[in-house]
Amino acid sequence: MGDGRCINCGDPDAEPYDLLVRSTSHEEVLLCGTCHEAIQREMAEEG
Amino acid sequence: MARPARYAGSDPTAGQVRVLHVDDDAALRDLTADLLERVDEGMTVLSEADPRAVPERLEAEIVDCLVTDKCMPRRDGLELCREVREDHPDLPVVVFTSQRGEGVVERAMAAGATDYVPKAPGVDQYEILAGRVRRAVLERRRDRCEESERATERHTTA
Repeated sequence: MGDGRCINCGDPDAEPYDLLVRSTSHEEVLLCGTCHEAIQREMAEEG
Repeated sequence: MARPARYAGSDPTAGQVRVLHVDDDAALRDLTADLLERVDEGMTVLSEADPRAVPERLEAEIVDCLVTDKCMPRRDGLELCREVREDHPDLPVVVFTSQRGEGVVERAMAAGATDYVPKAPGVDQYEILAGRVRRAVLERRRDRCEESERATERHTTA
């Protein structure tokens, strides 16, 4: 999206986080707090 | 995601489903592929960053359903819908976007989308998306079967 919004839901209140998905490290991914927490929880559950 | 509902939208009779997901954001492409495949183990998600490359990929690869973002810099998702419809009139196309507002759903449907799934906070939206994709693919397969049966019937009675 590249417009400062959460990539997962479009919330304008997003902050950059590092995200490891499918063995790929994505740096400074813009996510809102809700999406970041939910994604981290999901990744931790099934590794 | 709530585990008991995980396969709620899936129909095992639909078998394997290959999805081509189009989004300009690399992290979201990986995230969507990972979460859809977790939700539905029969789903394989291929990813594409450039909507302009989609027609060629649809010719070269087996794809059961196209999932596309709406707002992309190189080509709008709805333009992509219209283009895909010309050569693939019955391919399920699901618009997966955070864009909301009056008329978005209607514009997506008018462009030839089969369904529209709004992006929402959290990860439950991937269960909804997987279910909608499954349903669209199953309906297409049923239509094709019925069409084939009708053609056989016509052939045998002629």
